[in-house]
Order: sequence, then C-alpha cells, then structure tokens
Amino acid sequence: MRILLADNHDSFTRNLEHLLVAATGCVPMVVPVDRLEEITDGWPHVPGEANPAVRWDLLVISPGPGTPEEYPQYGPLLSGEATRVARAPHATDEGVDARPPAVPAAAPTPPSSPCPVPVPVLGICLGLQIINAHFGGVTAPLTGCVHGKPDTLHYAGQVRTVARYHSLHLSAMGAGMRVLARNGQGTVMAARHECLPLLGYQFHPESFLTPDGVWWIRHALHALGLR
Amino acid sequence: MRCTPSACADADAFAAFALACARQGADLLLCHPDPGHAESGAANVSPSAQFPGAPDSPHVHTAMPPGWTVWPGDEGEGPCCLVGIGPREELCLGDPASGPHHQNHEPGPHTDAALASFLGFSPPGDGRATARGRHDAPIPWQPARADHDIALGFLAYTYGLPRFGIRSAKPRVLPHALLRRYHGMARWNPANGALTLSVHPDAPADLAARCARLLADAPAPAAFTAPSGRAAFTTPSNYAVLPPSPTFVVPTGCIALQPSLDRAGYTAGVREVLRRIRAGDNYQCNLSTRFGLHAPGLDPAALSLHLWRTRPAPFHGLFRVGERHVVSASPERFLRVDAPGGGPARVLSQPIKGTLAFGPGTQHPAWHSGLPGLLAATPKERAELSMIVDLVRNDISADCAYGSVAVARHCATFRVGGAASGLVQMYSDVTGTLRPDRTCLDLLLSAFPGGSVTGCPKRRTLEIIEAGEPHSREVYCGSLLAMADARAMDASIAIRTGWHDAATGRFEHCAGSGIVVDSDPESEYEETWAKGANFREVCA
Repeated sequence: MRILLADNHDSFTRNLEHLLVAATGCVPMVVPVDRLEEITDGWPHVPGEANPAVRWDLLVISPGPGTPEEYPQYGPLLSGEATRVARAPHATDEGVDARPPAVPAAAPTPPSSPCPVPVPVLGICLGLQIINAHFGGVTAPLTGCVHGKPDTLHYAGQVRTVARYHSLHLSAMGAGMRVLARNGQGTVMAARHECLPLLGYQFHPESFLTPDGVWWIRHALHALGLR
Repeated sequence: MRCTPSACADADAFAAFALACARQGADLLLCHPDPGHAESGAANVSPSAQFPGAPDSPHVHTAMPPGWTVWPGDEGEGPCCLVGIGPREELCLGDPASGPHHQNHEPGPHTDAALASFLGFSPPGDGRATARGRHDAPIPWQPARADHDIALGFLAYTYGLPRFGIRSAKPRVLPHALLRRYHGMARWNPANGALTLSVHPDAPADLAARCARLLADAPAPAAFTAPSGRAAFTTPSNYAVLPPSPTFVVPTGCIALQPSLDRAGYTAGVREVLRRIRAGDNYQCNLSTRFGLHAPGLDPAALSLHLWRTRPAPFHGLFRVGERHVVSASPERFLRVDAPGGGPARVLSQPIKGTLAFGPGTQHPAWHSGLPGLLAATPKERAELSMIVDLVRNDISADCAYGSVAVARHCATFRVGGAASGLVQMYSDVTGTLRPDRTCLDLLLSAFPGGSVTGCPKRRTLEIIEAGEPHSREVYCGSLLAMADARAMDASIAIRTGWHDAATGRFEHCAGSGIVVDSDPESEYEETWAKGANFREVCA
C-alpha cells in the first residue's frame, strides 16, 4: 500500500506516521506541504517508481495550524475545479456556531461517472476541514475550544474515547459532506463525502489519549474501500 | 596510558573540589548530591511511594529509570556528577565574541555536520524533513572507552531556530553551541562517595597530581565558616538540604535591571498568545521574560555550587565560555539515551508540565498528601502535560523504531521545596527505541528545542515566541548535555538557567510559563515571577 502523508508543518505528523505503520504495515512517504507540488506532479502516479502506472493508494492530510484557506495546495488533489465548490456568500466565519449549511454552487459529481478523486483521502483535524472547505463547507472558531483533553463518542455501537485538539470546527457542511459522528455538544467529530472516497476525523487518532487509534485508521480504510 | 586515581569524598569535599576546579575553568554537570533522593519515585507513582520522606524532606525529581550519566560505569550505578578539567578539544559555534565570522556559523546542515564530526559520528542525514528509507545501514557503534571520551556542552535555544525557518536578529552574548572534550574527567558518585579521575594520554603530565592536590587542599567541612553578617541564604529549617555553601558571597553593588517584559508587557503577551490559540494557530505556547542583574563581582562557580547545595535539582551545570559563564539548575530531563548491555538504544524524555503552588499566600497554606492527586485531577493542568506528551512523542518518533514509542507514568508528580512552601509539578515518561541507523545527536537535533518549553504545533509556536519576546532566549530553553558515544547521552532542558558576562557585569536569566486556552494572564505572570526565584533570591 502506497500512502502519501502530507505534513502541514504540524507537531503530530510523526505520531500519525507511526500510527499508519501500526495500522497498515506500510511506511508512508511524509512530505511537507510546501513540497507537495513536486511530489504530486504526476498525480495520481507515484514518482520514481519503475512502473509508471503505479498509483498512490491513499493521501493522508495531517493536522496543522490555521485555517483551510491557508492551504490551497490540496485543491488539485481533491480534483481541482471538478469538485471544488465556491463558498456561499453568507457563510463567513464570524464564529457563529449554528449556521445554515452552505448552499453548493454545483452539485457533486454523481457516483456513476468516473470518480473525480483518483486517490482516497483521509483528513485529520485540519485535514477534515480542508476536505469540507473544498466543497464549500465552513470552518469557524469553536466556543470553548478544547486542547489535549479526551472526549467520548458513540460510534459503531461503542462508546469510544478520542483526543481533542480543537480550536476550529465544522460550522457548516460542504456539499455532499455527511456527518458520521458528533460529540455530546453536537460538534462534528467525523464526516465523509457521500459518494467520493473522502473521509475525515476532527479528533486525533494519533494521540496517546485515543486508546484505539489503530481501529480508527482501519475503519477509515474500510470506509474508503481500501480494506 | 590511562590513569585513574580514586578517592572517596563526601558532598562537602566534592563541592570544594568542584569549586576549586571550576574557578580554574572546569565545566560541571552535577546530579543531585543525595542518592537517597535520587532513588525515590523509582517504581510507583502512588503518593506514598513518591514522597518517602514526606512531609519534611524535599522530593527531587530525578527522572528514573536510571538517572544522570550512568555510562560507562556499571548499569544501575545511578546518577553521577562530572567535572570536565582542561579542555582538550572544543567546538564553539556562532560565538558573538569571536568577531564577525561567527555569522558563518548560523545553524544549519553544515553546523549539524560539524557537531557530528566533533563527536565522531557520520553526518546527520537530511531525511528528517521528508520521506526516509527504512533500511538505512545501522551505524557502527563504538562504545565510549573512558570518562575522558565524554563530551560535555550545550545547545542554545537559538541553535534550533533556523531549522524552523526563523532567522533571529536579536542580540546575543552566548554561542549557539558548545562541545568540549577534556584532558581529565572527574566523576563523583554520590551513592558511594567514589571520586575517580580519568586522564587522557595527551594530558599534561601533572594533571592527576594537580587534581589530587586540589582535592587534598579542599577544606574539610568543619573548616567552613560563614562570613560574618551574611545571612542572605537562610533556608527553612524543614528544608532538608545540605548546608548552604559559605564560599558564595553575594557581590555588593548589585542592581536589578529592567526585565525584558514587565507585568504589563508579559500579560499583554499572554493575551496575544490566547488570541492566536483561539484562532487555531497553536494549542500551547511557552512565553518567557528575561530578568537582569548588574553584578560585576559575581563568582559564577561559587553561585553554581551554592545552587547545587541549596536548590535540589537533578540537572545542575556550569560552563565557561571565555569571560562568560552559563549557570543552570534545571529540574527537567530533555532526552536520555543508553544502550544497556550493548543492546538496542533506549530513549527517554520526561517533560514537566502542570504546577500547583502551596504555602502562605496560596490556596493551599501548607503541604498535605492530597495535593499531588489534586494537581493530577485538574483538567487544565493534565491537558497542558498531555499536549506536550503528544508533541514529544512526535519529536522522538523521527528517530525511533516504528511501534516503539510509548508513554508511561502519565501525570506522575513530584514536589519542589519543603513542607512550608513549594510547588507540586507533573511529568510523564515518553520512551522509544532509537533506530539502529540513527545517533543520539540525530535524535537531539530532530527534537530540538524541547517541546515542553516551546509549545505546539512547534513551528508556528516558535514564530509566535520569536515575535512576542523582545529578548533572545540564548541558552535558556536549550539543553545542557553529556554525550559519551552514539548511543549514550543525557540532556537537560535548560530552564532555571542564567548566564554571567564578566565583561559587562551582567547576569541574566529567563523564566516562562506555558500558555493554554484557559490560562489567566495574571496567574501566568505570577508563575513566571515565581520561577525566577532561584536566581533572584540568591543574587538579591
């Protein structure tokens, strides 16, 4: 399995790398976001392979500082204009929690047509926010933000403890983005695209405060059709 | 030829010997002098096990599993004190006192290579920032043969900035990095009083004899008499430490200088950090201020030994750099690497975060056995440590084998001070196995500067610190270290650390506090002020 781990100059990327190895047995290639372009020049093909047809199996977008708007590099990997949705004019991030969902400027590509996202994507924290923003979703400051603390989710029939580093949250879902889990306060904690292989966790499976990090990665791989 | 004279010395005799050596230019790295304290807290974290002598004896966090510099002695020998006598080789990078060419030593791959070369390691790879091969050839490992092979030195905080894209133009007085090997290395083991001297074959012929004379001439404890009228160093009677060194005399004519951030400036800085945290830029940020003292007559060697005897901490140190001295009394381990039995190298980091003050004027007028549990149950304090544990896991993971990084004793507590007043603090053990193709220098550089004194995510937090602090941190928040070979190192986090410049008479030291989203600016300033007490009280 060929995994590209894009590092948004975060301080948890190596934890995520070790977790991906534990969950898949495969060593990801870790690339800082400012060098992403040169590595993904032949996207979705892996550079430097003897067989030029070899493709990436998974792109993981790391957590990181700031907002999705600071990371335009991911647009082409989420298939650029084919899937991009302009942010609805009313959906500015003024820190208001209960916002109506952004109105999509274009409908997502129907699942029957050739998949416009050639490599499945797993986004963690900022990574999820980047995916959501690509489809017009909104990221806003979270009232009462939480860092370095565990929370519990009811997910897949169990109560699971997850680690939160959470300043910004998904205040409006992008077009085609479906919520998979919310915490007790109703904050989105996991989401995926309804027909494209894009999934994200707002919490941090790579933290030592998340006891079953491997389970979360394998669950994502399964949901993305990889396992 | 290797000459290893031995002697037996108690703490007083060793202190006198170390002071005599230091006054002649020796460098010091000192563990806590009381082996009884060094062993406490070794296995369990129940309050009773952690504070065997509570409530009267201070508990010194000595960071077991095993402590300071056990190599190349027998495993389990316990922490030792090292005295580096007569520099034989030196690498000093970016010393502002060395003229304009020091700018060629702006830290980068070439200075990393210089450090590796000095230590006899192959140059660090550039793979840390990007993808890396998993099948790099293991590095041939040559264990250190003798104590005189051990390199001592420090990395200043400033050494770590360029790798995060920060070009700091703030004025400095200290070099970015210093490493030395010595003609002679004295080692004192507080557990049995053994004092050994390891002498390099190239050393001056009379080195051992001169050292023996220094030890013999060291006044017996009974001969110490306090200078009359000097009552500045009173310690509480229940503060079970060694008697204060009477050889340290407060220089007269000391004048406190304006701190780099006063209360108003510091609290404004905290508010700006809080704004950045809420904006999603970072989770935690350590903000410091610099205190200064005009103290032209200060004797840094005497100050260092005085602190060693009166302020229990596991990582004391003294380094001379020309007319400047670095004096450190750090409670915190940054990184330790050892390879017991020649097997895989173990990595240990022990970040400290979370503080509860007790004593007059606090919410807890006196020590009681419930305080450690109270601290460990406070969500804000727990979170502060948890964030740094995740950061340190990340920082050692670049050089540790997959699946080897683990956390133990999360939110273990220790106490600083006696029953009357002091602090309870928390730490955790973050462990891993060094990859066979990496050295302890690779690990040190990957993880530098330490996460507990920066914040996370580290890159953006370093930018915020650089913009928010008007002073250079110099060696503060860097690391004092001893490195014996590619798999044997112990390194502190250089907090409770100051530096004296005899040319200007200035003594400067920094103190800081970790800012998280629920921090109160005034409380953080109080904590920072309290942490400056070490030097303020002894130099006041």
